Amino acid sequence: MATHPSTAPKAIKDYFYETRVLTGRDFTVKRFATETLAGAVDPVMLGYIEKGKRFPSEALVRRLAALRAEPPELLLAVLYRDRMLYAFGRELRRALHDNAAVEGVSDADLAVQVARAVAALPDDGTWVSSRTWREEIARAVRGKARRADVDRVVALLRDKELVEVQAARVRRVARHYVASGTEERRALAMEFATIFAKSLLDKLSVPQRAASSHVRNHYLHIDRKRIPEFYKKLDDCVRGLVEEFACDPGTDAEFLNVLITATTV
Amino acid sequence: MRFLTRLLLGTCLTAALAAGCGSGSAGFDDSPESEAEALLVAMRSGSCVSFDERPYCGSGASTTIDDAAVASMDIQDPSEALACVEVPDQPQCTATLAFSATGFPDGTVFLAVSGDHLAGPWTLASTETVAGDDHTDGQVDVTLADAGSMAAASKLIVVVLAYLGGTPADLPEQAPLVGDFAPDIVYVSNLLEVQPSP
Repeated sequence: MATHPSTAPKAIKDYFYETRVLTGRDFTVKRFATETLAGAVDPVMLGYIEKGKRFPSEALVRRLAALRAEPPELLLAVLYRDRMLYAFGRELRRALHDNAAVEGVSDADLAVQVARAVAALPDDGTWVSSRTWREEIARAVRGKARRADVDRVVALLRDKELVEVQAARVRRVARHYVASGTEERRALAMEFATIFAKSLLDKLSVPQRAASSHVRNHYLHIDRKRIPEFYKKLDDCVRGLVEEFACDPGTDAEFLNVLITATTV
Repeated sequence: MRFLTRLLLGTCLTAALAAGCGSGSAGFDDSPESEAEALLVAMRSGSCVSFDERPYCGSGASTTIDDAAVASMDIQDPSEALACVEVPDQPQCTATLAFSATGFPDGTVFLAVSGDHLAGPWTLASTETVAGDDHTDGQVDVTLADAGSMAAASKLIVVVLAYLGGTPADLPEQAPLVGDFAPDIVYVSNLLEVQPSP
């Protein structure tokens, strides 16, 4: 199984864990809290932060950013996004009558993995190696690439007939994933919320990233009966654009999310 | 410093390994963007969806013809695998599936294509049924090649094509899309299993 770096969006807890582990000095949570962070956080609390059970304070995030030699705005934006998503997830569960625990950003994992898995297959439906495809999915699994997570995504896409798998090869059959059931719908809603929150925060609080997101509201008066037609054309236009710009393998690619929402007031 | 080096290395590696360059979409409802998706939605929902200005329907779904008449079709959905009966002296076998159509205009011609996946390709079946009264019963004989190698159950999808004004000339024997056969209305069976007749 591949151990490539994950391409999934990282939560603030991941930055704390990553910084402690990647300093290369075999820091335990206790030593990292007392020596590197100079006692700014209790080791037990740091453990909770790394597991995503508590949010760090802004002061602690600033200290971590200094340690990483990064501007604090980047990590603070991650913290703000995580807090928003936690609150959104909590209310979403109430709306869905879903009693599962709130996990914040990781709630979106399933939807993120599905998106990466679909986008890892050519638009024209040509066959690719199953192994290569599974490695691409594994990269979307945060932290260690776990075979069970990859198996779950593959099974889901096969069950939905979005992909066809034959022996050692796979091809895309359809491109549109429809979330069904509470878990899938919650995961997709959290992914959408994550994308929207990041876009807004890029624009509003992270000057370095302002150009990486495009946020715009177009508005109009429209005959109520023509709204379905409008939505269909909107989707057709965006799909055409997305397929036109989907790159050739080997180019310097970014994974770009284009989230569209149109609603009456 | 070593931390930053590792972080930078990781970032570069991520970019270098970003080989998947397809695209996709996700949402909470169906909006078929390809024929395979239209067939899938029709099959799963038992309703009709429009794709390329043509209705793609699941078995049992009703569709409106000429803004007035309502037509529907039921395609047999056997609980067990369809038996594929060997053709004498040929490395082929034939599986038969029944359908019943209601409300189609007199003279409507029903053809069928089959495949083993929604993404095609689709092969024209030899049988043809012409609607007479309000209710028409028909059957589709699907000939599968290489019966000898069909050791276990195989997947089969049958699509009944309705032509309201007669069939076009020069229909292909095989095509990548159901739409290539230019029907007016498409009805798709559920996912079937077929196995050699004992």
